[in-house]
Amino acid sequence: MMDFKNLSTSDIIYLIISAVLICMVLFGIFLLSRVKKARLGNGLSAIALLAGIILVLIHSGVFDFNRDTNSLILGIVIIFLALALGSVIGIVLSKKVKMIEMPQLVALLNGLGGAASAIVGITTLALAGKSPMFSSGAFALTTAALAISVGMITLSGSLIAAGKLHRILPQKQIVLRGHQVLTIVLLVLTIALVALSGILVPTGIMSIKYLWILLLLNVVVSTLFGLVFSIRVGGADMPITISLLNSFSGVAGAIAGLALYDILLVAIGGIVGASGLILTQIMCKAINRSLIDILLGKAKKTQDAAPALDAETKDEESKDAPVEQTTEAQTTDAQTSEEVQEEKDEFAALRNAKDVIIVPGYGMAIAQAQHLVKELANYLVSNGAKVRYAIHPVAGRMPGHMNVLLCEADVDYEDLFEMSDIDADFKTCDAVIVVGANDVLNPAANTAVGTPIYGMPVLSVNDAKEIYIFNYDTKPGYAGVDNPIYERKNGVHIFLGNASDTLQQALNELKNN
Amino acid sequence: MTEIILISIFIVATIVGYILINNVPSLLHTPLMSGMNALSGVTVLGAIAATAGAVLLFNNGDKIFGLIFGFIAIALATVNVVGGFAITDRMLKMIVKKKDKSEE
Repeated sequence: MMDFKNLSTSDIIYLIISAVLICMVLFGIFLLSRVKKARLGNGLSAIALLAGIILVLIHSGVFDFNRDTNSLILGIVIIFLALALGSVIGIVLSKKVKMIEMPQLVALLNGLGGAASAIVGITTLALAGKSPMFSSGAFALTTAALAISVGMITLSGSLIAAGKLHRILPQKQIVLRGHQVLTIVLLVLTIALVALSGILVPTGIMSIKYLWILLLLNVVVSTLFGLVFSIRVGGADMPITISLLNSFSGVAGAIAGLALYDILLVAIGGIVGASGLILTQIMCKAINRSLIDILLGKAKKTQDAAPALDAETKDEESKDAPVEQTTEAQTTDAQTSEEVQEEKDEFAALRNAKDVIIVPGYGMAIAQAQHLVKELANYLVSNGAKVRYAIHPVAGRMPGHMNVLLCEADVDYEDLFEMSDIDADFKTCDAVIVVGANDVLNPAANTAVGTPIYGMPVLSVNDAKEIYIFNYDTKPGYAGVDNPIYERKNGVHIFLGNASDTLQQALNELKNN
Repeated sequence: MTEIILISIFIVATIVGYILINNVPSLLHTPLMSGMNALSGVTVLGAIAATAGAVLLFNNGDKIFGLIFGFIAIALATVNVVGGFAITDRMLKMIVKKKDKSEE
């Protein structure tokens, strides 16, 4: 433990270098706000963390060969083995992961970060008072216990979230009997255990020998709390949950830093916490819900399912059997009636369009249709059209997910527009192409009071003259609210089925005529 | 006193971070999150310090306890640091490269 009133020279050097590294990380984040400099920013943060690792190795005396050599070698071997193992796993993960799997990877990494902080808290608490390095003061004991709680909540909550996103666990929200009461009881117990850890020993009520009992209880109760709160979150509220857990993983690190009196951990953990908080706020605003409602699993009025989100959940569920019998029949029906009415003129508007906006949703990602979308866009561009993409904040399973998926399909990032920047242009554009999106463009959000999506900001697709919809079906989306666009008489062309197939057909027709 | 300084550092870092991150465009929110995964692995520093402390200052049970838990914590946090930065770089490269090509 470092006492700022009584610093040794090496402590002062450690603090100065830490401060420099914190500034480096902040500058790296600053560069992230400029797209072309973002890679440099990420590299800068990485170098700062690497330097931090070297700094702490030296400062903690691992290379101080005046000490007991056997312990020293053992320490070096263990630390470097762990670093090597973690690096190998990290590199393999980063190379193997597909872009569509990013949400579950981020969720998993949130969990690992939380776990690491919890373990640091456990070590600090278990060894408290046994050497000057591990303080047994009220501050260190409370923060160590809090690091365990927040870390374990992050771990168990993230594993559930990752499991849901990876479809190992059911997507639906699971509500136990007395769920709300259980959640509150577990939360109160967690807080009580943290407080007791910090009070009982310093005041002499309990011997430090028995601190491990509180520690174990804390691990169990906070793990349970994480489980109980995350099984309740429906698949559609996942972007918010991951953002929040992202924040938690940083806060857990910062608190572990408080327990160890380490300013680098404290500052960088705080930065991560802030980032997760911002994203959580953006996501909540995008679906017009308060964070408390989501955490308590409250849905608006009549609806059981958690509202929001774009894609057809049914699309996801039937991933293994892309086209069901009934829907197939439905599809052909819809298509033939459509064809009878409009014959070959159907694509005329698209062929002559000079200004086209594409609205992608998660259904596009599920159907793996982003490359076809790009191909269609290429065709339109070669036809002299300007093609832009309108990205709703929750058009994916995590913040910014849709952008990454489209960039992977070679879409230029300068063609991707945030909702606020492009929404006014729907009125003036020649045609809109919707691929696998429903709730994010449902005009009912503006009018249907009392439905789960009421008040949620949506793309004004309905203002457009011509709309081409490539969705799996016309059933209500995740929010369970019918989309009046499907009923519109003029200028709406609906192509139902797997977007990969319907887009390919449309593309063939466009190119052949 | 030390504790107050630490908490102040936490608050200041959070506020400065909040201001800077608010300017990150939504285009980069996914790389931002994976980058934050990497930064949350900063716990590796605490894990190394605690492990080194345990192995150098203690004997027998406490030493073994510190080594086992330290090993797990360091490995987990390193997955975050290395995996997080690598995946962020992979995504950023993918997003930015198009532009470079068209400029050439």
